[in-house]
Amino acid sequence: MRVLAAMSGGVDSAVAAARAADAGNEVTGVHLALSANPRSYRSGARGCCTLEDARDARRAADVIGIPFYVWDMAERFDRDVVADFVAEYERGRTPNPCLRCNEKIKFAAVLDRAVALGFDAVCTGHHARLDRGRLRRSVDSAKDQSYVLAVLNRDQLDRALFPLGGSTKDEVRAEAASRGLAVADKPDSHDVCFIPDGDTRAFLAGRLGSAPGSIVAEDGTRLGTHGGTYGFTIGQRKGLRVGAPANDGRPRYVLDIEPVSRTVTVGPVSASLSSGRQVKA
Amino acid sequence: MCGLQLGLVGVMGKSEIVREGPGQGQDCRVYLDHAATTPMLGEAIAAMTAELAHLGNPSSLHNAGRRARRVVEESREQIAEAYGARPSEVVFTGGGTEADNLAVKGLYWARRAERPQRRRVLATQIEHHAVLDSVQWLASHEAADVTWLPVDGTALLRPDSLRAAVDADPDAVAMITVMWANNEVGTIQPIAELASVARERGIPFHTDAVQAAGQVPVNFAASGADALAITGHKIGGPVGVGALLLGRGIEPVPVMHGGGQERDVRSGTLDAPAIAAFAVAAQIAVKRQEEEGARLAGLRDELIARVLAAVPDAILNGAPPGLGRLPGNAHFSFPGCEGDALLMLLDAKGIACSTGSACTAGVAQPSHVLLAMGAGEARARGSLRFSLGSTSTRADVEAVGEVIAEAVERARRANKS
Repeated sequence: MRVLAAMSGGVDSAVAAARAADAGNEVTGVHLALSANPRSYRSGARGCCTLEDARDARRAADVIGIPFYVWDMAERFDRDVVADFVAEYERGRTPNPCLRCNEKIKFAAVLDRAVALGFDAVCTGHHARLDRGRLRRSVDSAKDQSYVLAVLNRDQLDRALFPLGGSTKDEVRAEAASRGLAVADKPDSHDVCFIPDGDTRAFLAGRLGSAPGSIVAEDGTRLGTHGGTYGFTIGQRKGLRVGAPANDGRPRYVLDIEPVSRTVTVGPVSASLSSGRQVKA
Repeated sequence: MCGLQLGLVGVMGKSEIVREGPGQGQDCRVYLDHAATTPMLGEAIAAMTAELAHLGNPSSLHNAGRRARRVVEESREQIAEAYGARPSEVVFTGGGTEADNLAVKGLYWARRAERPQRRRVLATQIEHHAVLDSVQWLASHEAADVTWLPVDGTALLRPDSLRAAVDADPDAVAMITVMWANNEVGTIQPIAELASVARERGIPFHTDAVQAAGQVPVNFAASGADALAITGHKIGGPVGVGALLLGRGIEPVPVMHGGGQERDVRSGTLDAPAIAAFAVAAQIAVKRQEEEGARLAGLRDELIARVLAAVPDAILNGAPPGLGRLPGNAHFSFPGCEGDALLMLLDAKGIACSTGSACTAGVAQPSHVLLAMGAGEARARGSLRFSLGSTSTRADVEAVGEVIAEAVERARRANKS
């Protein structure tokens, strides 16, 4: 099979590409340039897809012995993932951009391009398994990423390869080391790849501006003001900045976000617990 | 990358080099990217290898140093002769980019120091980034007032365009820079006429002849230019060595300060082995230029014919094949394609070529040369450059003809996704 291996410069995608090659596939590595600011150097564990990451991916491809290219998807990424992320927050919701990226970029834009260029499948380093065409969780439940792949349809899954699902993260790192991949020790990227400093609130403030509103108690009592509902998510405890403590002295949690009136309702933990939560894909 | 096999028979003295042509290299069977770099000539490798075994800093006064110095000076004379210059006009550098930086920055600073009002720099829109970025840097950091000279649809600069631009304020012009031949689309400029416009007004004229030097006759004295940049690795010599030919009486402010080598113009220990190889390559290139030029032009014209036959709506960019275009250069735009998809597809088939544009952050940008020619972004992005050279054969041309139609079709499909 001709396989396009998406290589982020991280250890997972590097080992995944190596395994795909070992399995006898004709593998080509591709680093997706998604960042609007690739010149920023990666420091610490946050963020992704800087020039340094491209270099790490290239070096991994060298070691594995596969061709390597960089594909510029920054414009589409900004349109399909970043803009969607901002819009969702504006609507008072908390999005997961990784879902959108897999749905629109990795297994759409990239997959479509790959198929047109003669590839049979796209391989990634996601911790997930495909079991007779069905998406399954990784054996490593702490690192499982099947939830961000759940948006993929049948056609997309049929052309996907997830070589890491049967391994734990530790096993993957050990394998990277034994394969001589320098990224074996590279820290994982957490948080949102396009917010390298991890400050989502500041990022959104930059995009959405100041949109002040009220923070209220369940009974409607006004408790304070906020700079934008995008700074909150349901169940959030930290960063509420209400000023005065609750009457019962217990911590407050975000119960509701109403974006039109820009009202954030907070209350005790008992009011925040529920038996279910609707997750929209 | 391109595994041309070279067997070295005898290291010292004897230059019996067995070189296998393309078709036997493992990684790229068809090398059509000579504009990026050229295979080193066996004779140049032999000269460099021989000199590598010797010890001595060419600036040292003792026997070992003088021996090395002699190699450098003989090489200087050979290069001077090859390009119509005096030995004293040859300044060795670490390559073409360095030579261009020295000319652009050094001449600007020198001219401005003489007269502070001289802040104008005139450069074409199609210069190589070594010149372009240097000029842009002068604009953003050294208060240079840049006039970007426009070119026509074939990338040609007309002397009357230059004249008009200069005469807008001639006394304020620090220097003018126009490349001899464009590395992307192969168009050759009327350098002698352009240089004379500068000369008439007493303005230093620099030309980046990095691409032209191996392929067409380049004579420094006859050109009328005051500064001319050349490099080793485009003419079958090594990477890492070049020269700025500098007319007498022109003293650029140095970029490299240090031990004062090259008349204080360019400090740094001279790389005798590389310089020796550079000189050998220059001599051979100039000697073979006429015959080789004709041979390459023939192959190139056949490549053009095959590509246009396979992809009838492909567009040949640059000057029409003939005296106005580098003999080995063929540059096309393929409507509906992305150049980097085409490059990838051809690479997978063992054919090495280029999109001809500089890489920013590892990702190709639309060619500034094509944009300057009025091509528009889509056409600029959908371009491919094939450049032939010393090892190119009919088989290379045929190989392209065989795969280009399918590659274009796939790239078009990929573009729609």
